[in-house]
Amino acid sequence: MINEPQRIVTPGEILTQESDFLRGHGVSLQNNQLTATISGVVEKVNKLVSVEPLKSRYNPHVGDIVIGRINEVMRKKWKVEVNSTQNAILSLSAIILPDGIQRRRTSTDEMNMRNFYKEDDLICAEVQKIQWQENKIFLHTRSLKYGKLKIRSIDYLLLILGVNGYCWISSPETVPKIDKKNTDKNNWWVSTHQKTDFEKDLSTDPKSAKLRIRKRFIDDESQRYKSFTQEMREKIARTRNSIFVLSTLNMTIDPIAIMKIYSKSLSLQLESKDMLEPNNMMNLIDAKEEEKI
Amino acid sequence: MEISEYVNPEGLRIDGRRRKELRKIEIEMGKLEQVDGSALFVEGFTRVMASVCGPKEVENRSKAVEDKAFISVEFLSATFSTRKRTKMSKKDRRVLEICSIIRKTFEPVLQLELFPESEISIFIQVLQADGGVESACINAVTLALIDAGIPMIDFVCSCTGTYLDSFCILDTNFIEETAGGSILIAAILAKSKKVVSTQMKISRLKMENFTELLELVVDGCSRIYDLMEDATRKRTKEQLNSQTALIK
Amino acid sequence: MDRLSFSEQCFIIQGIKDNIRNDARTRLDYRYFSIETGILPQTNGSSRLRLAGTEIVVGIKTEIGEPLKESPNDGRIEVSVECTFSTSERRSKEVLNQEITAMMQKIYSGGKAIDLTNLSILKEKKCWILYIDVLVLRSDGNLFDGVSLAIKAALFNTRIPKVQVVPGERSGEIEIEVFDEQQSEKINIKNVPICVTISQVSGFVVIDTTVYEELCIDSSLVVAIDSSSNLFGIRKYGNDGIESSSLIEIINLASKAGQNLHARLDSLLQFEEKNRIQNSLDLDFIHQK
Repeated sequence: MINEPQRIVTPGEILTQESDFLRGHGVSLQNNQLTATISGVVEKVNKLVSVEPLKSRYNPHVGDIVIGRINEVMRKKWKVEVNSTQNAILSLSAIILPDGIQRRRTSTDEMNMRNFYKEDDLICAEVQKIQWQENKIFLHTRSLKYGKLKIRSIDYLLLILGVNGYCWISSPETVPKIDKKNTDKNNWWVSTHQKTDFEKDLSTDPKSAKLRIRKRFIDDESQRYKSFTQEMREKIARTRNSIFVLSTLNMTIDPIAIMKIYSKSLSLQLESKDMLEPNNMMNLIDAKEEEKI
Repeated sequence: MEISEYVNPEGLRIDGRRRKELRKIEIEMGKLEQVDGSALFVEGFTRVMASVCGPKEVENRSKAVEDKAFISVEFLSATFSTRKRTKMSKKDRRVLEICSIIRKTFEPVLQLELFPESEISIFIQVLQADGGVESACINAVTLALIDAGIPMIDFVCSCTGTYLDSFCILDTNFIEETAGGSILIAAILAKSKKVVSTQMKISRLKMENFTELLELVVDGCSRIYDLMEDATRKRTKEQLNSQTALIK
Repeated sequence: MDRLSFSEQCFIIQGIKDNIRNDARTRLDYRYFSIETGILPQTNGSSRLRLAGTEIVVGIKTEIGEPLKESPNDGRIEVSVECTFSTSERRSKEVLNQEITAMMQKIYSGGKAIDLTNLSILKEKKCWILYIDVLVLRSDGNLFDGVSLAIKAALFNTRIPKVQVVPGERSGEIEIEVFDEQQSEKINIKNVPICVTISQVSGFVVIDTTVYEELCIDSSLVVAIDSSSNLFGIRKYGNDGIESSSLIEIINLASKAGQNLHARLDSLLQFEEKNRIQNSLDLDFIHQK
């Protein structure tokens, strides 16, 4: 834990007089001095100094699990919107084919790309590599955990917190993979792009990830759609509102915080829909002073 | 309205200010949802809202620039913003002028090379206009860009002054701006005090008066910088506190 | 920029059917909204509405002009709505602006919402023109309702200067003397309507749709209604037809919802009025440092 108070800097502020530091994110060299280029908190790790913003678009790292929406279907690849400075690329070779076999992609595959993912679909993927110079992000869904996010008939809840700030619902297996440090910095982006209208499934069952496997590439999904029970919907809505409360108040979103708000709302006997009223929001986080929302 | 003097013998202007006095400034950052950054800049009665989306994928691929992000600006002056209701069409010269000024002012200041083939969209709405509008726009945009976390080498702060009635006056209101004197709008990079943009409407100004006016306006920009920096710092602190707050 | 996958649409539609929407509201629940008036001192009346992510600013200005030939003894009201963002892909910005402007112009300038004879200064010659300009800064669905609420609030805040017609210097001429602000008058907003949009989804009706829900609806009916349940206008949007029996039901529903909304807005406005700090009219130019 860092015990010293974190130093806040604003653009143009000189970070350090020492010259032997390496420049990280948010730092530039002006007049031979390391200056901040964004408003945020200074981080010094060994000889690397950087400034971490409190609010920005998703900053990708290899291995991050993200949720994205298919924006475009192009030749041999898809463009995926992930709340970052560019749309990410998911190439045809980076997905699992329906038959599960590892084989070369054929021209039939190329023509049937929309059978895998089409525009507006939501997917869960992992960041495979990043080309910094060209500002390109590459994703893959080469694991059974990833792929299209669809409704399943469920008896349990599952929650996915994409590191890029979008939420679906993730299994507990994937959560530890999100670096705790990243969670602190990144998860609050949900507040700037509140796309939390995704369904939620909150699960404590590690096997749940495996249950989502079946690759279905049939268009008529309504056939498979089974309705949720009232109870389940209530849980989903309450979870969604809990996340909303956290995001509106700019707080870190992690499973623990969500559960705390969730249970608090139950103990206060709040109806889910009333959770979003400013007074109730304050009560949920136990704020002592009046805060302007 | 006939005004006989803009600065009376006691040194007071029509709104009671002294020559070098700025109007009251209020800043609100980050209150608009669904955008990456936003800021409301209020200077006296002038009220400008700026919001930023980006850097993000370029919508119109033909406009994408290979090695850096490109800035697009949209400006709107509300019909109720001026004393006399005025409808400004999108093709109005003034609109195009301001868009161009904003783009030219911020292009060298933002680190656009970090985001090749991306787009940064800036939206400006003037909710109320009482002089100093271009300056307020520049200041609001600076704050909105900072709120969005887009890297820039320094704050860009702007102020307006006029040479009127043989006096140099700082932070003009509408009446002072339309009184026929020479107007200078300058924007500086806060730390280096380098002037990054100027606009002038000169009507036969002597060199020494111009120098005095420039110094006054640059000093005004510095003072505005102090307020902007303070507001930014407060906001960042607030955000840090919320994020590290523990729920009981 | 707002798009939904098939799954998400199914989820929303089913939620509406089950009467638990994404944010736990029932089909007939309205979201929380807040209102501020008097935020633009250079106008005669202004308001700012926040309804979830929607942010709308209204400025009302009065000008002296000539009455229309068809109604020489009435004043005039002109409404214009501008959306600064394209709020959905389906309707482009211009179309949206036109649609909302047209609806608002119809319901507010008809003569029954606000007594236009009160705005007349000199019959057939001079009258007040009330310009209602709406700026939609951000939209989170349900724009018609939001805009109308903001307009009503701005009208509540509007003060019309008191005037007196005096003979001019030359014979036959007139001059209009405008008294200062202390003597300006309020507008009677008793009959001012607001819009309630009722949308149809798979046979169910929903109120106060979010941006995402709007991508799933079949059709919607915008009903302009005042606090005494009088109708001021009805407009249908969307491709699907509505059966006439459903139509009556929907209008009754709108009436009930309208009552609630009016009551909510009125109490918010009264509350604000009571707590109003006299600072928007103070000239406070003292430098902060």
